[in-house]
Amino acid sequence: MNAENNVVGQIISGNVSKIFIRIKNNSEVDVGDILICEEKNAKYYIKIIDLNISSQLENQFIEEIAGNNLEYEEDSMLFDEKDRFYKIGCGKILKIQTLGFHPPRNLPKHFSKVRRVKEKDFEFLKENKGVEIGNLRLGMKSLENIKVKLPSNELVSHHMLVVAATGRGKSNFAKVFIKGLMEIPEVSSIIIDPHGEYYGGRGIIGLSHHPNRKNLRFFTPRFTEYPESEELRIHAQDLEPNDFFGIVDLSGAQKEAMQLFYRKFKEEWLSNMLKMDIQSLEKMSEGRVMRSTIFTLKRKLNNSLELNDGEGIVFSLKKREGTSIFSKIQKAVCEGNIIIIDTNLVGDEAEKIISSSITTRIFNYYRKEKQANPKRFNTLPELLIVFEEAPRVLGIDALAKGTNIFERITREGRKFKVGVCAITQMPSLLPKEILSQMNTKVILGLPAPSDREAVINSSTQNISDESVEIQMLDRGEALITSPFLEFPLPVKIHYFNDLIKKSRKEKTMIFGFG
Amino acid sequence: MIFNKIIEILKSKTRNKIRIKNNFKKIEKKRSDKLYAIDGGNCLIMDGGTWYLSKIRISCVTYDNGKKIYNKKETETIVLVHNEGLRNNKKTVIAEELNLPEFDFKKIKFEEIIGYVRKYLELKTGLKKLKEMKNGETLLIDGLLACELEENKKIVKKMIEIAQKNKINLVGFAKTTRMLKNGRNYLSIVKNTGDELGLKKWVYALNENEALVKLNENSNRVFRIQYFGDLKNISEILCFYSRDKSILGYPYPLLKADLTARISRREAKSEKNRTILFLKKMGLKEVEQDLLSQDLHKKLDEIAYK
Repeated sequence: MNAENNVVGQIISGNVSKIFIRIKNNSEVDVGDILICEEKNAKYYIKIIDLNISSQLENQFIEEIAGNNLEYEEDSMLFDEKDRFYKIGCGKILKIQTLGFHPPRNLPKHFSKVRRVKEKDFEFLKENKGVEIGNLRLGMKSLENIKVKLPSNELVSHHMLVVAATGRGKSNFAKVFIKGLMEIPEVSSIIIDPHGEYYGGRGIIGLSHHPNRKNLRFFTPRFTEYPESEELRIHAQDLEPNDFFGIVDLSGAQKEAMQLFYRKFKEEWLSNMLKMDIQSLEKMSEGRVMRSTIFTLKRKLNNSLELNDGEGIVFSLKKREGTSIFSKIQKAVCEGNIIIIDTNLVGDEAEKIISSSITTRIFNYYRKEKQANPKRFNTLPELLIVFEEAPRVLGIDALAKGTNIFERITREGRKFKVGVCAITQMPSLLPKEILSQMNTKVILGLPAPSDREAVINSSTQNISDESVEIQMLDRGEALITSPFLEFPLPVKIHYFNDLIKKSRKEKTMIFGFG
Repeated sequence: MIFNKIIEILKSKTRNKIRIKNNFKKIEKKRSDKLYAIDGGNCLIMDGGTWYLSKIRISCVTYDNGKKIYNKKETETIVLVHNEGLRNNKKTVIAEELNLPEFDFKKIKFEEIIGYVRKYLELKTGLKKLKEMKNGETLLIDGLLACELEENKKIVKKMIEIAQKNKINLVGFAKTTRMLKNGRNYLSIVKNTGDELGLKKWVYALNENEALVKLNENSNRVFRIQYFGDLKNISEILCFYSRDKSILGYPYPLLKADLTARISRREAKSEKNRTILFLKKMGLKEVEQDLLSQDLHKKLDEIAYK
């Protein structure tokens, strides 16, 4: 395709916020397309945000023509149809490239030619080191030879938000991104998996199918079913009252009672509270805790931990033998592993206690290391904590119960190399402060206007004109905004299963020829 | 009262059925042969009473097999029309870079001169095109070929000679026609008669070089043409090009030539401002005041149309 054939339009009018392009007939320009307008010293990256049909004729003549079309089928035609009936593209200038990239503070001239992008226009994407997540997408077309990478090292501790309606590919994106992280030793990740879809097996392709899975660790209550997995078992002695605060709905008196028993019994506080009878506990508290408080607290804790005779799917009141699960996970994190925590079999509250207690331990470890041992801290990998259904822990309702570790990480995590990747289909349930802390946003199709508005208003890059595009995003199509990208990038996310198949094929070939 | 009178007059005019000769020829085919269309546009830039400045633009478009292959502004010029003295009634026309002849405008109204100059330039463009054209092609000019001005007649004569020599169809196409028969519009009489005969597209010969045409079955428009060449061919070609959905029954290339030549009110205003600036620069500040004092109609029009 020569340069002239690549031309799809010419600039006709506009300002720095919106620019209008007369589209060449049959050019098939779609909303979401990125086009290039190249002048002597500047290259303008223009994104099509809307399209209009237009004509040189007054409306009344157009109506007359439509009437003629409908009433008289024969003996009529349209001369110069291409000249008289056409499309006008409304675009926004994403960036101007001179020696580097600049925000749009200038405009191309009248009649400057606008062309389709070439591979060369996105060479700057090749300079990005990080995780390849897909191909550049122009409207509905995916450009196979222009790969989009997210700079994982910078991006991880600045938090990510993955938003999409059901079935638009949230989990697929997360898997693709984590697969990429598996190949980067400087980054570690903990994935809280409530739906059992990340590790794989039983007909589901997951991260365990990655040929390079030696740094993948899987903690699950179903450890007997997965040969390479480890048992997810949390002993009561390893839990602290703080692990419940902001997670379980507790009154002030109940929280005080837990603190009191923790001081009294140390690491035996939880098992004693749940094993001992109410009278003994009341006596132990020396009258500072009411009987009814103890009764309610015992019921709540027992329910939250899903215990039956002191044993649950994950939690146990038995004395631990050997290393605690927290130490194991901490070690795995420090070694740059990807850790999947399978919470598929437990209920909502138990899952939150599991994720909260693990996250708290790791975050505190990173904090302590930074203060006590900065050299050691510098060698620690960046850590990304991935969790689905984010409003359950970061939502306005959830935070009404009190602050929790996830909220704390969104505020402070960056300083300690810890970031969160919150996945949700309802970003409007998250508070504005949390949303704006999520510097990188992966948006995969949001039909609800309130959700779109929440994401658009909290983005670091201006995507206010992309509302229609976001609404229309199809399965696997994403718009990514991040301070680490030159401009919001439209991406066709790789399909995880295809990536795995490709990786396995490549590995087989290497061995075959090796 | 006045309406009763009008009705009475109209009834008396339409009472008797006017019979005409059956000169109708049905147009049965369409020919997509190459067709050139020429039209001009003009506007007044400044009116100084004994002089005025106008802009004239002449365009030519060419279509072959329904596709536009040429569309150009052939001539674009500012023309000064000057009445040298009311006693000798000498009116002169000056246009930069155009070799205009000495016209005899004695019988022509001062303000109408520009129309004649425009016609002259249209015909000159036509003559130039005819020299490039080949056998079987058609040149369509806006307006009839019959002229009042001697200089224009001379050009038409040359055009006819070339057209006949090279077997080119030469057609003058009148957008407006005022032909009366027994006090009634002749075009309407012919059209009604054609309808009564069940004809949808037809040509009605008026004389050897003149005819009325109805070029599309879904249009009610009838036009008068003056032509040199084969009328059957001409009508079939015009018929092919009169099928545009925005203006059924009228040759689309003529519309396109008109649009290309047309000078908008905005363009005229811009030319006026440019000229005033130039005149001021040359030390002629009074001209602007002269113009302001003369005519407020335009200003009122502008306000009214907003």
